[in-house]
Amino acid sequence: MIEIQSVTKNFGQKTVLHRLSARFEPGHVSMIIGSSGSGKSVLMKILVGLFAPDDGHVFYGSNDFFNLDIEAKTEIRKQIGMLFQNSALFDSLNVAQNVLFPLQMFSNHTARQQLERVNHCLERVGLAGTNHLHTSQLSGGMRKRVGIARAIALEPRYLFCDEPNSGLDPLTSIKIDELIREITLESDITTVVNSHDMNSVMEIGDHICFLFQGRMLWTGSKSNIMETDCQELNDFVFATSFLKQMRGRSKGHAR
Amino acid sequence: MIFFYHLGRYLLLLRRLFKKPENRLLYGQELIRQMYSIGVGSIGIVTIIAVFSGAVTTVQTAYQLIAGWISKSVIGAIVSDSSLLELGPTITSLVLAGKIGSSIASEIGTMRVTEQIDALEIMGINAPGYLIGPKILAALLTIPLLIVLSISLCTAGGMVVGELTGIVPYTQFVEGARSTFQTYNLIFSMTKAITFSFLISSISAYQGYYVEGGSLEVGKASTMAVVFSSVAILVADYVLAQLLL
Repeated sequence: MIEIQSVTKNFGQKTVLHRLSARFEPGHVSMIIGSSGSGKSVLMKILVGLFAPDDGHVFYGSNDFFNLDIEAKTEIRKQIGMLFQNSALFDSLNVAQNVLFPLQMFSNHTARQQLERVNHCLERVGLAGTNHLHTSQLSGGMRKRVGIARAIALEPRYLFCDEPNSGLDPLTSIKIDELIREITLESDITTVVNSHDMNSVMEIGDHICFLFQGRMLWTGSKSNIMETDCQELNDFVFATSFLKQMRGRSKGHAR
Repeated sequence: MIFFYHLGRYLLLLRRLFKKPENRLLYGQELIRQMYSIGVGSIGIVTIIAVFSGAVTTVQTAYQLIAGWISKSVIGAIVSDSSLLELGPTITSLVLAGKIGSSIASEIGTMRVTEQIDALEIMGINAPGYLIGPKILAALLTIPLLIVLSISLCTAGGMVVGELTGIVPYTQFVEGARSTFQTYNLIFSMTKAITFSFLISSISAYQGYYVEGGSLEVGKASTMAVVFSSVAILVADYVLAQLLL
């Protein structure tokens, strides 16, 4: 479980996050949604410890992350897997070496066991047999999959995904979403996904947090997102005229 | 004021290098990779620069020694001492600042803008320790060796050109070189080599590590790495000469 309490972040005079509080449960995919500049990425960076909040707390279980010493933080970080927007694969390594890297760095397993784990992770994301491909030879979807394989290599308790569908076609996006959901359920991981893709939200979002100008305006589930009265959320969800018409019709039918 | 801001941030970054490695084997592998890249990868350019520097020094020294009563062995003394004290360590380091400095800054800078450094930190890896530490250590181990090579080739270049062009016979060149050689000069030269190695690698790594933006900023950081490393080398060259000679 991850819990944030009254998290505030300023950059100079500008407050980009205003006293945010939320709770992310294990075995659930929690989605942070909002338009560009709403503070999603800053919140994600605070959650994974890249930025420190100016006020408030981030709890991993019962541990107040930013009040821990470096060793304790490192121990928690070993339980974190992250999929980056651009995958952030190490250019100098091939596919297998990218997945192997965290294992080599932190696990006490033998080289053979590590290789077995690499093959298992690659197989899990549908990339069996790609071990020797260089990262420059991969498509966008394959890079995301390798990113996921690397993120789950150490069997994390927490998985963070920053815009997992950006730059992907709709079909590949759905496959990546399904993979994230399956991995979350299989290992009872606490998964937090940062996205502005509503298809993704409706596909895998168990718990949804809507950010608007650095404030958490709405939280709920995908089942009640369509009936919300939050104007800013409606403007975000039904952004196109097509969707607005669809919503109008569905409300008409409901009456 | 901005100078002190960067100096402070540079020192804080260096402090982060002194943490226990998460895995010594991986750090060792990275060190070997960097030693190959910095050391072996620079032999060609160092050879060319050194040989021609020595050759030009011989020709120009002979051109300025117009008084007939001065022994030609003086040319050997001047070329070998110049190679040892300045051409070998300083000119080679300035060239390496361009080659290695830009490479280090662009490699680390690209890792920064593509979030690879964030990925390392989220994994719980001390990113400066893993990325910068092996580079600085590799530079400290290989650049002094390159400078020894440079001094040798610079002197040899001057000697060969002196012999081939008839400016100074081989025997007189060697006689002159031997007559002025002092072990202290070699120690001084190696002190410079180690200092310059540290400045090139650490300043370039600093420039790359704090890149913000995209490929344009990586290019700028690479340029700044070369400029600041070169200036630092020249300042350190003067300070060391003033202190040690």
